Amino acid sequence: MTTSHVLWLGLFLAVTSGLLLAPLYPTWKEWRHPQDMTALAFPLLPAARGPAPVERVWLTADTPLHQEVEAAHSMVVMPGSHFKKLMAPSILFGIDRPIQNRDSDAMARPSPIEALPQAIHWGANGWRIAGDCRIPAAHQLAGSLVITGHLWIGSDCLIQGDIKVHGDVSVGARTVVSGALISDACIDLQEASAVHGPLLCAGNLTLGDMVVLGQVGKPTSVCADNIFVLGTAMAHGTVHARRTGQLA
Amino acid sequence: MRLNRHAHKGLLCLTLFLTLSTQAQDRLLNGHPVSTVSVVLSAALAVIVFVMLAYGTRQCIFSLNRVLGSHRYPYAGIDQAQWPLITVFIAAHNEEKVIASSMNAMLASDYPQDRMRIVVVNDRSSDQTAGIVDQYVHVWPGRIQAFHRNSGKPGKAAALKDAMALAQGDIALVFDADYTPAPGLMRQLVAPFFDAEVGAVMGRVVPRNAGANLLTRLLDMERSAGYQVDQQARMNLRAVPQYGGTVGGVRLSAMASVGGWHDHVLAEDTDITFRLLVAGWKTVYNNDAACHEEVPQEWAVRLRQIHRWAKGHNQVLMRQAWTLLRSPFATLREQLDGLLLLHIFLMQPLLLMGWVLTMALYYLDAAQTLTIFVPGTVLIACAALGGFTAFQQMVYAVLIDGHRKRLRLLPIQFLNFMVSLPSVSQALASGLKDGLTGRELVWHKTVRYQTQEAS
Repeated sequence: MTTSHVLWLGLFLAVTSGLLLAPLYPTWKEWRHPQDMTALAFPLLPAARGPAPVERVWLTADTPLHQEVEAAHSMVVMPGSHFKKLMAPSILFGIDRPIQNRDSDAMARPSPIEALPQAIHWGANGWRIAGDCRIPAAHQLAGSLVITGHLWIGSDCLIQGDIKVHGDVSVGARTVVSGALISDACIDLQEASAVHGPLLCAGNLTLGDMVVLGQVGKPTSVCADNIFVLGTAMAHGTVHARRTGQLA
Repeated sequence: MRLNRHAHKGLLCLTLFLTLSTQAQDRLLNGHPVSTVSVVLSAALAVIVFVMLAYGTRQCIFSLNRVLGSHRYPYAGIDQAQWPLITVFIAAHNEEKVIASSMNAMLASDYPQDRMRIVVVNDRSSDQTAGIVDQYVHVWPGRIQAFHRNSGKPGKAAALKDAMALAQGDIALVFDADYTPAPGLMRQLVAPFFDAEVGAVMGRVVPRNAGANLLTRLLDMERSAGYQVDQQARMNLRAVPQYGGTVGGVRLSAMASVGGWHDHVLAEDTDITFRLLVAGWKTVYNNDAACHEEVPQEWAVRLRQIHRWAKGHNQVLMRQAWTLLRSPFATLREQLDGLLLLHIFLMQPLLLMGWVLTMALYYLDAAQTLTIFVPGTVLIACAALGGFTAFQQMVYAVLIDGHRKRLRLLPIQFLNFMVSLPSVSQALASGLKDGLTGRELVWHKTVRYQTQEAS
């Protein structure tokens, strides 16, 4: 091998090595002289709130749609209004007539349900049903419920526990759910029914006339894609429509 | 002495491999026909390639979901509620450097004070941990309770199992002693428990000491990929988000219904995830419920940690895979993802085996077999795909987190991968050996680096 061959070979190796290693230069630079090595930051303190909310808020059909409206004491949502997220200890939809909070203790005692068809025990004090479930009117159920189908609760029932439903939920008139009500589909609350715990649904939430969500002094959270209020209703806490909420 | 023994083993293997290679080359040059051994090895390689491709596809789907799909977290709407009574357990074993910070952070939580109890599980600490905890109990009576454990089976799972007797309420949140939760974290972790179907909740873990050295920076990217992309994608796709044993919680009645806490497993978090899944309970991942932790700053500590994870995970695989397949509650998607998740720590040994098989096939019957299965090419392709999809997850995770510049370190992740490869493979061998000999699994604590903050 002549000297020129060695030189060419050396040049070839140098160029090849350079081409192979050049893309790694940023890596080497970041390793030796870091520009981005801080720990990922996330808020350690709650986000600073804006000015204190006003005591009372009235939303009318003419009020521009805000992402968030908060009142320190109460809020009245007039017919024709649209909303996204409302927060107040007391939110009244419509002003036709006063609404009485439905206390489960004050209800007439419905008949207790001994056993639900096709139900299996779930957790400490609950039931799970694979498929649909119907709870007849004027019955009482103590314990949580997990339903993989749809759920129909008759009128004048009392459910003392949390409810999770994969399908649609229909809650009958004057029925009270003392825990949370969560659905992967839609929820329909008929007139004068009440839910004391959080109420979440992935689809539409329809509130019938005289429905009450949460309790005085015990705020709750209500969240759905769309919320339709069909009459006068009352909520305590947060009502959040991810897309739109409206009062007929 | 230990290194010398390993070096001797390595030399022996190398000599054996070279001898076999030389013999195989002789066979090849002398024109021997395709042997049965080659066909069997090729078939094994084909299976490995198929499995690697399946995992690569899975990783791709997860990455694309995080980039193109929607973020699913149905409990974000719960900001006001009648919060349930909870117990927060802090697992501590020789944690004098970090325990004060952890308790300070718990006390600063905005969760209603009358609804939260803090129990520090001091498991046989030989340093000042007990004294520090007792000082806090004295200052905060009724809010912090000490559970000093001086005997019994070692390990976090065993300690937590014993401490659960002190739980109040139906929800137990568990933190390691090096975790410093933000004030709002408890509410974020408790909110999903309003869902009667949820058995466990997991938050995100973010390295606090990311900038300590090269290793921590690599682990920071790895954690980002694991949580920001992998866990969240599984949550989005209704697959199997995993309870991680810390920055999370369990419903105690759900735990009781699936047999309670097990203290004879190394990865009690994975074990809980699958026992709950098999019984129909869901695990929820909340990417916004983030908490800082420490990651290992030394390679030796890192290797011990991943060895323990791999061994524990494989143990759960042996216990739960068949049960999961027979579960009447788990959906087909959960079963599929659950099985893939259970086998995740077999992938590195499989990849290693694929490389060895490729070399062996080359030296045995290169011309014939390679033309039938083209295993080398396919293996390289799938290894590249598998490797790239893991790195792809890191890229998307880091970009979503908004830290573009640290992506420059991505090529060095290959080093991290190569270093962990033998450790994970050894964990598999060690687990098999333990299974055969009936030896009990040993839990190793991860070293802490943080200095203690004043109370």
